Amino acid sequence: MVNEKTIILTVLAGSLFIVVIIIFIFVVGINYRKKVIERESDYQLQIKNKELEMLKRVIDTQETERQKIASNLHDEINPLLVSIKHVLTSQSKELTAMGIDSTRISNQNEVINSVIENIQSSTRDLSPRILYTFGLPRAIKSFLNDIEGVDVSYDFIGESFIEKTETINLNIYRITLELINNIRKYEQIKKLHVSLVGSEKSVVLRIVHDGEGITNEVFHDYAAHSKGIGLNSILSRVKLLEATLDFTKGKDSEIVLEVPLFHAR
Amino acid sequence: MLIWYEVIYWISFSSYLLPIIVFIPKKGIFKTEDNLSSVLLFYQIICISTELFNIFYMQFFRNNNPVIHIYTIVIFVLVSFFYFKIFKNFNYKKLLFPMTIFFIIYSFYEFFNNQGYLNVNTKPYLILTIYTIILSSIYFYKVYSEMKIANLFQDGLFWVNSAFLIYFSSTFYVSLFEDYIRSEDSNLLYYTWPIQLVSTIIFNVILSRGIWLMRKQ
Repeated sequence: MVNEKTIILTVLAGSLFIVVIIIFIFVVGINYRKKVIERESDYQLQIKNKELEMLKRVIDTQETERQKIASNLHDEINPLLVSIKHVLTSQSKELTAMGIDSTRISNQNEVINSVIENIQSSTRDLSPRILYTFGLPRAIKSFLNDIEGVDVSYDFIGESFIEKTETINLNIYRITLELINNIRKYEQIKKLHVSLVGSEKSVVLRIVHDGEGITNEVFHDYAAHSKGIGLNSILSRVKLLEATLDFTKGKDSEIVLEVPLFHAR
Repeated sequence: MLIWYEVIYWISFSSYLLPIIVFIPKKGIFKTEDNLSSVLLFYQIICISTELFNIFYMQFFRNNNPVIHIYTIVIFVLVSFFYFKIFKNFNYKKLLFPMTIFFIIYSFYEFFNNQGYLNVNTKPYLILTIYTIILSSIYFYKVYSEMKIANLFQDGLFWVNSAFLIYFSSTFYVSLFEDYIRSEDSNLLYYTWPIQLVSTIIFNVILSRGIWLMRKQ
């Protein structure tokens, strides 16, 4: 026999049933949203990894080509020029005796010397053997020591952390050279200070100079409108290293490159 | 109890208008090119018409069961058509057609022979509720596995489907006990029917939200 109490319990159970279904639908909707966000971030990560992989291949190819050119210059062109120089030096007395002006001979010698120096310098830039042999701090020091007409200072801290991988070092080295060359090219500077601080988590390169400096916006604007490869090469390498590059304009203008070591490729 | 029942009944009855109001497009109700919205509009018209027929039948014949028999068949066909439209890449959607034919035949059998048109069509109605619950669950499963929609809460079909699931689950629950309660004391049905009336109100509110979003999309 059905009584009122049983019916009321049935109604309450029915109401609970409806509430459970509504909660179920909301849980489905919320879980779905979470799943979509997760999938979206996975997809973004995949795209980012693919982009970085492509960038790495481009930069690796560039470096391989540079090494080939450097090797050709160093092993084939340079010895030829050195032998020409030796021939000129050894035959200078005979040539003077034949009536050729000795000043012209010494001028040609100077030109050959200059070409040899340029080739050696280009070879260093194209394939920095010092970097591969002695590491990043030594390579940057060597580059800074060659700068003339500017009061250059530097300090390197935590060098053991800096020696991580060849790829990271090579990219930091290239970025450093490109940045300093641009500063020297476009700014009238008298002082330049470079610091390289290595830690477990990152390598931080800081370039401080007394030039006018630029801001981040101006740098990205230059890079976007630049037809050259220098600035875009900096940006590509920064992206590949998943690093940050900050420009500060002021009395002492500053450029800070921070490369995370755990995520760097 | 009766006063409360009357209040809930009239709120439930009026709530059928809500999706229709939301549906009214700029160019007129029947000029829409959206088939799904048209199906839902037709569904609402059938529901209101049935309620009106019920009132009319109860006044003159004291039995509205023949109307409920016909209503169940029409709703089954509309539900089948609706899910046939939204299951775009579902391999078994062709089964909906023979199932509908089978249901129509079975309903007419119940109408004329087994239960008879003067009695409540509990069995066909239970089949309708189970059928709709299964279809809406398949829809949820498909949406969840395909992951083609960015935000379900902004998707009109999700709300429409939720409305179907809530409404038919609660009517399934009520229908399960209806025959038994009716055999004991039909006055006790005034306690269980409010579940169906409240779920109708929820159904119409959620359906309105769904149609609103479908029209926006």
